[in-house]
Formats: sequence, C-alpha cells, structure tokens
Amino acid sequence: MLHTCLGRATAAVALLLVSVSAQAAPCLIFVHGKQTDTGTYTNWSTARNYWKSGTRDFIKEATKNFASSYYVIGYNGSRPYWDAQAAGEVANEIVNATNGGADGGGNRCAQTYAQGGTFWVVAHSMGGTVMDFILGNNDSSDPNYNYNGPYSTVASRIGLAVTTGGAHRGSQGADAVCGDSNWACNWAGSWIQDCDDPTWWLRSADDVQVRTYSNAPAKNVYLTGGYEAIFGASACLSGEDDGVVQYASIFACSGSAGTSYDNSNVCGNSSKQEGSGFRNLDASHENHDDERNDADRDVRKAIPGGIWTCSGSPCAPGTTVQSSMSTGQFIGILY
Amino acid sequence: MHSTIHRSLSIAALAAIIAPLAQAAELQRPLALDAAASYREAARYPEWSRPVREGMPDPIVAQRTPTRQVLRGRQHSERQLAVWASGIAFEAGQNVDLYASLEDAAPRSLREALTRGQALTITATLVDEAGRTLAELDYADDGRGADVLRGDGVYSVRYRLAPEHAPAPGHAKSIMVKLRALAADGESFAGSGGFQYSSPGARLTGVFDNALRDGSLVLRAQAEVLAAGRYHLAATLSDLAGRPIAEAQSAHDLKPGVQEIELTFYGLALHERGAAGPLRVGSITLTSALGVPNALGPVLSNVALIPARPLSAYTDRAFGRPDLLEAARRLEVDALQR
Repeated sequence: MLHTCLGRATAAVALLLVSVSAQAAPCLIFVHGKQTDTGTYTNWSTARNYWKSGTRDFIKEATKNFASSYYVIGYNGSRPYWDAQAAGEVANEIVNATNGGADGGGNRCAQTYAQGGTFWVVAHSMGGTVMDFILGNNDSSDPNYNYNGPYSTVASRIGLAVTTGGAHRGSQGADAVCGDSNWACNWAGSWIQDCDDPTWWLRSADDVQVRTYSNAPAKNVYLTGGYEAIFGASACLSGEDDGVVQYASIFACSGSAGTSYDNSNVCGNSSKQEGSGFRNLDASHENHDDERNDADRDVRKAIPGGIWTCSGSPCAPGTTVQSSMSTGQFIGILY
Repeated sequence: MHSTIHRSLSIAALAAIIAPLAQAAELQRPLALDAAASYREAARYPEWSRPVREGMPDPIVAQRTPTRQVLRGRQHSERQLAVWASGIAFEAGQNVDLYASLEDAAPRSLREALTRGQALTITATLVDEAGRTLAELDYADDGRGADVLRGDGVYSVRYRLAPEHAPAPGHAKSIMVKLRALAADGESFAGSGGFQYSSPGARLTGVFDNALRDGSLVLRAQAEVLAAGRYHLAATLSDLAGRPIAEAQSAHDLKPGVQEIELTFYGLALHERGAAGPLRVGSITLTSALGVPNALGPVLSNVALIPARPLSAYTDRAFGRPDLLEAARRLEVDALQR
C-alpha cells in the first residue's frame, strides 16, 4: 500500500516537473524567408516544408523533438517586407499564436499570453526584415505604427526574436539581380532570380532599407548566420556570406551594407543598424538553405559580442565553439 | 597492421583538418536572462525618448548619411564597382549627384592606386519601381558639375529631378540607379544603387519653442501642412560641442495649414548625463508617413538653442515601461523554472 502511494506520488511529481518544464519553454513561432510565388501563403504545408530537407527538420531540432510547442507562419513571401500580406500577415498570425489559435497544421502554443506564456520568434532571411519592420513600428510614436497589422500587440507579447541569415540590410544578390549583373554571378538556385517586388525592397540602397522606415526593435533581435559559400554567388559578395546574404546584413551592421566582414571582425553589438535591440549570437558553417533546414550539422564559430564563453570569458572571435551543430540544434540549446 | 594504423591516423588527421576541434565553450547565460536584463534597463525610458550612448553618433544623421553599394564585376574579380548618391532623399527640382568608382575588392594601396586611375566608361539608367525609365546618364571624371576632382577615379553625374515625375504630396518613390561600367582592360561591371524621390506633405517652418513639463523637455515645432495625414517628427538633443545626448520622436495626424507639433525629451536622459544646458536641437526631421515608402523630409541642423536649467528641473525617475518589465518578468520565470 505504502509502496503504491509512493509510486503514485513520484509519478505525480514527475508529471508536474514535466508539465512545469513544458510550460517554462517558450513557444517557438517560425517565420520563413522570401519566396518567388505565393505557395507558403496559400498552402501551409509549403510553409512547413520550408524548414525541412529530406528527413532533416529544423523545427524538430529547435523544439527539442517537439517538446516545446510551436507555430509555423505562412505569409506571402513574394510581396515586399512591409506589405499587408507580409508584415501584416505575420503580425496577425503571431497574435493568433499568442491567443492560442492554431496554425494551418493545427499546431498551437502550449499557453496563451493571457495564461502567462512566452513566445520566441525564429525568422530566416527576409523573415528577419519583416520582423524588423514590425518591431520597429510598434509604438504610436513610430513612423509606421501598426501600419497594416497589430504590430504593437506583437511587440508586447513576444519575448525575443532570433534571426538566421536575416536580410536586415538587404542582399548584394538583390543588387546584382536588379542591376542586371546576374550574368556574372550564379543566382540560378536562389530565391532572387529576378528583380520582383520583394527583391527590389531587399537591395542595399538606402531608400529601400528597413531601417529607413522603422525604429529600434521593441524586443531584442538575436543574430546568427552562415559563412559557407555557394559556388559562384559567394564570389560576388563582400566578405563572409551564406551565398545569398553578406555578413554586414546578416549581423545588421551600421554603415555600408557592402562592408566586408568575417568572423573575427563582424560588427559588435554597439555598431548595429539601430542604436539598440540587435545582438550577436554566433556564426555557422552553413549556407543560406542550411540555416533553415537542418541539412548541415557543422562547425560554429564565436563572433564579437557573441554568446559563447571559453573558460569563463567571451570566446575570442573566430574560435570554433562547436564542431557539429546546426542552427536548428543551436536554437534548441538557447532555452 | 602498420599500414592500418597509419591509414587510421591519416584519416584522423584529415578529419581534424576538415572539422576543427571545438574549444570547451558554453553559453554565457540563458538567452532569456540576457533579454530580460536588457529590457529592465530599457524600461527606464519611454519608447518615444531614449538616451544616446556616449560616443555614439547622432542617430538621425547616421541613418540619413548615404552609404555605398558595392558589387564585384564577375566571380572572383579583384575589383568591384562602388556606387553612391549625395543623399538618400531628394525633391522635385533638386540636383541628385551620383558617384561611382572602380575599387580593389581587397584594398591594397598600390594596386588600388593603379586601378583607380584606369579609364572607365560608366552609364546609368534611372528606373522607378514600376519599371519606367526616368533618364539615361553618362558619368564623367572631368572635374565639372558634380565631379569634384578631374582624374581622381571617382566618376560623377548630376541629374535634376523633373517635376513631371514627382509623387503626389506626402508620398515618395523609390528610384533605382542601374549602372554599367567598362574598364580600359575590357572587364565589364554592373551594379545598382538608389535614392528616394520625395514629395513631403509638410515642412518645418523654422519656428521652434521649448518648455519644461513634468521634468521633461518639450520641443514645439511649427509645420506647414499641405496634405492631410500622418506625420512623424524626430529630433536629437546635443550639447554645445555637438555630442548627442537624447533622441525623441512623435507622430501626429495633421490637417492642412500651419500646425504646431510637440516632441518630448524624457528628463531622465538629461539628468543622468548632467546635461543642464545650454543644449541644442542638433538635428530634426519631419517625415510624411502617409504610406510606404514614407516621404522623407530634409534633416535640419542646430535649429534651436535650449537654455540652461538647473539639473534638478529634469526628472530622475525611471519611466518604468510596464510592457518591458512584464516581458522581463516572464523571461526570468522561464529561465529559473528550467
């Protein structure tokens, strides 16, 4: 009898601990990057598959084998980052997630905002630009306050954002394609094959930059990105890059978006496109696709102002801090 | 046996080269706690007015300083085409000065000096987002017009924005500059830059006033409004040496006519920096936010002098933004429960 009671009590405590642990984990909300068609917007499975490569699954890794709850957003990635079907749709979906609504696949966050839940946004590529616009226009004093969606609610409810390969300062690839110099570089396998509307707004010219139309993000945007070259394209980009987006953009640097950086000298946390809100995490030997589909579990390097410590001090920039870890797995160890 | 060990060692050595050994590294602290700490600090100021960290540039000026776009000529080319404009936004009738130069992609002084002197032919097409061509331009390095110095390797052209292409008042257009360059050695380059064709729907008249209210500095700016809609005012407060101290912003729906717009610098930023004054409004700009792209107005510098006041006139109270404090609390609970 006693044995049975103890057993039940142990089981109850274990259940409680699991429950507390699940509740303590943030709900991860995934925002994909630029598209050449409306597929991710009209078909949720396409948005979900954006994060997969064969049997590899970024979301599975980031959520620790789905132990954390998650929500996958599908917006119109063939519209400019500020468009109602881009930033507006993303904002509405984030609010839906925080209210306990389901994504197109029936996934819901474990707790609503009203129940005390926390929410992290994970954004890839142009998804980072979209989040910059939302989080930089959340206050009634901002130029594009709640421009086409509930930006203020998003900003008040999410805990932070992590961007991987974020196009915060645009892409030199977009410059090349819109400048008709794609003949010189191989962009054929990329999502920037022609100068469509979102590509126009992802150039590195000042008049299309998200920083020109928004303020510092209301919640921190943490930055990681890859430095594995893509044959052809990388040879046309400045400094390290993931084959599509150059470091100056991935790490939201101030100054020229074409400045050449590497792991040892990429801009630190006090030299960002805004005076606050952007912080470095690390860099990975992944290309632009690997950053979001878990296909490559590879070396990770420390960068200035990043998150890794070696023997109690910040690791020297360029230090190899992991020998086999994808960005999906990396996000899984951040919480 | 020996060859097996030898082969195993070789494979191990190769693996070590391919995948460098990671140092024993760990995360500084849970990301949630890092964010929470920064939110508690940021919560001391309102979102509409924040301090500018010491040593940082004027944020308005920094964001409106034109940057260079660079692109290599072809794969593995050692040279790149750099393009830039004299500003970010221009209005009808104004001159847009456009520049381009051929540079070494990995600057080496001698090589750079050699390549900069190479003769180039540079042409550009100005295109709007709808694909309409505004102009075809030829750049020159002849020391005339926009070109500052003949033969310095910087090619320039001046283009006057024609009123017939102007956006409606309060609106703006994104204009792309598509360039083609041909070097003397036959290597060709292409690239793109851009600027905004802006038609601000309101202008600052140059009349400013200031007052103290609840321990904060209120700046009142007069504006002449042509088109009804949303307008965004941003300004930076500096000391007399030009060091920026605080920034502030506000947005208002305005009707046509002469209007007064207020902007408040939260007093804590001044109090903490010991900035009793006198101070200057180092930069100020009025943006027409009737749609994206916003129509950027000019940045005015040193427009108003703020008289010295006792430091005690400015509040020493933290603003205590409830949204950030709540976010910090939740993140801390998350981190501690795990």
